[in-house]
Amino acid sequence: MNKKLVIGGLIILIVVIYLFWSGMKDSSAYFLTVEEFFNQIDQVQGRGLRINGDIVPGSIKWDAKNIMLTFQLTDGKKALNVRHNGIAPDTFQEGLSVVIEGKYENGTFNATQIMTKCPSKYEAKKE
Amino acid sequence: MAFGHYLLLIALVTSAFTFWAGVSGIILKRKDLSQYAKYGVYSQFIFVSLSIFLLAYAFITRDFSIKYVAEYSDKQLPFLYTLSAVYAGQDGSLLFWVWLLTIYNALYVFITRKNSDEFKSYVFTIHSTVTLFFLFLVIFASNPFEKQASLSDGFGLNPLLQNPEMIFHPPSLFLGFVGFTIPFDYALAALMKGNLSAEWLDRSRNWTLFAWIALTIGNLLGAQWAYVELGWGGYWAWDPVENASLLPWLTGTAFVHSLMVQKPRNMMKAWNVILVILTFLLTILGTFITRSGIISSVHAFGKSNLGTLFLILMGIVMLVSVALILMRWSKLKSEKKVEFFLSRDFSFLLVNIIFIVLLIAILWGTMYPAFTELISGKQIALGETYFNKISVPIGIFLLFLLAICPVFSWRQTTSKNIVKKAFYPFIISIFFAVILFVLGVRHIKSLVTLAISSLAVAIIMAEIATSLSNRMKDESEAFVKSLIHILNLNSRRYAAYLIHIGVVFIYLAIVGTTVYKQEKEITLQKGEETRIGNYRLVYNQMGERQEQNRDVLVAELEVFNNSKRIGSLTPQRNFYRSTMGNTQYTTEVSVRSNLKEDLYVILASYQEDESATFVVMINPLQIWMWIGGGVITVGVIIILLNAVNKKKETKKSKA
Repeated sequence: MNKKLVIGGLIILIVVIYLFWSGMKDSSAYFLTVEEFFNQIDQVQGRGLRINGDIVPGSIKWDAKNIMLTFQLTDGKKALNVRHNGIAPDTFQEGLSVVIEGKYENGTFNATQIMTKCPSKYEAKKE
Repeated sequence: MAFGHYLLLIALVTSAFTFWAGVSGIILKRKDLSQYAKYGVYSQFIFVSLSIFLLAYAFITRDFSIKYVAEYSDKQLPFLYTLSAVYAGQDGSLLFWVWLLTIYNALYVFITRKNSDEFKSYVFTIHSTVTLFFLFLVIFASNPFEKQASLSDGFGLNPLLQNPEMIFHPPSLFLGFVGFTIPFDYALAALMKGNLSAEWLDRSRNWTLFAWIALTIGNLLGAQWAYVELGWGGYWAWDPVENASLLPWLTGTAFVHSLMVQKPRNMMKAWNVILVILTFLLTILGTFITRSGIISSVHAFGKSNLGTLFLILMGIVMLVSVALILMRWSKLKSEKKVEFFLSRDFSFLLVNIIFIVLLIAILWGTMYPAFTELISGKQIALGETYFNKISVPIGIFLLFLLAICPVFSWRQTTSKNIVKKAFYPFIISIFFAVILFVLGVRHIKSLVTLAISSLAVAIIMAEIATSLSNRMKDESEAFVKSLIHILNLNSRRYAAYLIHIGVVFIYLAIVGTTVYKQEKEITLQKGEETRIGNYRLVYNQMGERQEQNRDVLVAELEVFNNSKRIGSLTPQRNFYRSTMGNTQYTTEVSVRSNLKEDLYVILASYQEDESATFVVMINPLQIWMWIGGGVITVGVIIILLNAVNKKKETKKSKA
């Protein structure tokens, strides 16, 4: 009984460790601010990234025909060009802080996902 | 300071008194002090109730001199959402939490008033201690009654929260979270008294089941809210806030299984105690994650200093629990071991282990950004892929255990018996899998999941059929009479099976919506059409209308199935007016559900040239997720009613 238990336990453990390892290998994404991103722009080409920043006012362009959303993301210093082949999420608007997920290739960031922060209350009106 | 705040202070003093009277009553063995403590429990409930009613009243009367009211409502907010705004923000939701704590305690003292339960005075005293902490938090760190210079209007409630699911989702979730406090009280009481027989489990069982079903419903309502309100067609995104409410559900679910083992088998004593304490800790960790800002999430509350206080609470609970467990270790250890693999004992143990593995995996994934920040200064997030990779195989294995569990009996099951019970169901599920394969289901994980699902249902049906035919033979009864009889005789067992069937339904929905989802994004001019699956959608017109606090833009699409017109869909965009805040918009999806699939349309944007952009989806089997939730709820209600009836019967037979 005990021997079987140990062997069974080991098998479960190996399977679980494998699942952990393979899951983490495929899906870890660096969480960066726009500034951190520009500081290490060479290392992060083509890697999975999540970048946090504010949408530059006036930079949002929506091409309805091709379902292409482009905008710029900033942290007050530099601006990053973002393309998203899809629709804007609810509450997406100028000045809003968002998290984008995707890869940086050839001068633009291709966002597969745009996550808007969803505060439980209204943002106060900006003067 | 507002009057409601004074009421909370009185409640705080009352809780402190209850704590003192309760502890002294236990130590000095004085019944009169314990009696005073019970009055204290009732008074806490009364004062906190008055306080939360005052907050609701402030919302209804639009008293914008209270900061919290001004931040979460405005003059135009509809009545029902004005009430739900009471628990929409951090301060109010914590007050709501305290209120539920006092409700549970008062209810507990009331229901058990005639019971001779040796744990009772421990339970309500420990419960009051927890209440004391949360009251302290609300009064000194998160006061919903904070005054400010009165404003002419408030900032309004976030439009995303103005949705029917959001009225019921938070209370249900909180009922679950807070509900696990009573089983936790019992676990500590059992440790303190040193009575570690199954008695504490028996007495807390119904409370546990109630908390579990509330948490289950709360999570499903949250999923439904995400599905209809967030406008991306999904219901679960492994966001830290979602995970936070899933974690205690996992340990809670493990617990509702393991608590059944202790009495008949004298096993899992230590396990049960630890599991309940862990569940309680995880409910607090959940509130900690959502309120501390330690992990960036899409819908956490703002950053606040509450994090530290919750850490302190968790630390205290852990220290006390570990000390008590060590103190009673010899008693906890005196238990039997699993003797045979082919036994219900072992399958329950395995279910528990798997749930804990899943817990660790999800906890790890959720906290990972915080760990990496601590170590390297950079947050590294684990995305959906990580969570799916781990939870899918584990989930399938859990479903397999669910399917085969009815064939095992306690202690030992002969393989002959297993073959007898499982042979035909096994053949049926193989047959089912082959049919699905022929019909074109080639996705291997789906095929396995669907086959196991059919096995689960078949094994249950086979068991019912066997006992039915035996009964009809032995008693020569009619079919219906026999059926009613056996269902009645083992109502708890069959209710548990019903819950399992509900779970199977949810698995079906997950397979359908994740593997067979169809989606397209398209911009249409008026009169143009698009096709998805068997559906053809024609964009006819765009209308506008004004409602109480929003302007609504409605697109009208005619829907044809093949060439038959089956109705129309009206996805909306709502623009919420607010005098104090920015205008915000939300999309309101339009869904056409049937048992086979949901046709789901989002109005993504509307251009000046009158073209409109739509996201059109087919989410197969989605409705089974909600049906499954309903079936699970019915199962738990049957068990709870049954327990109440039994209690009445034993009382009668005693009298």
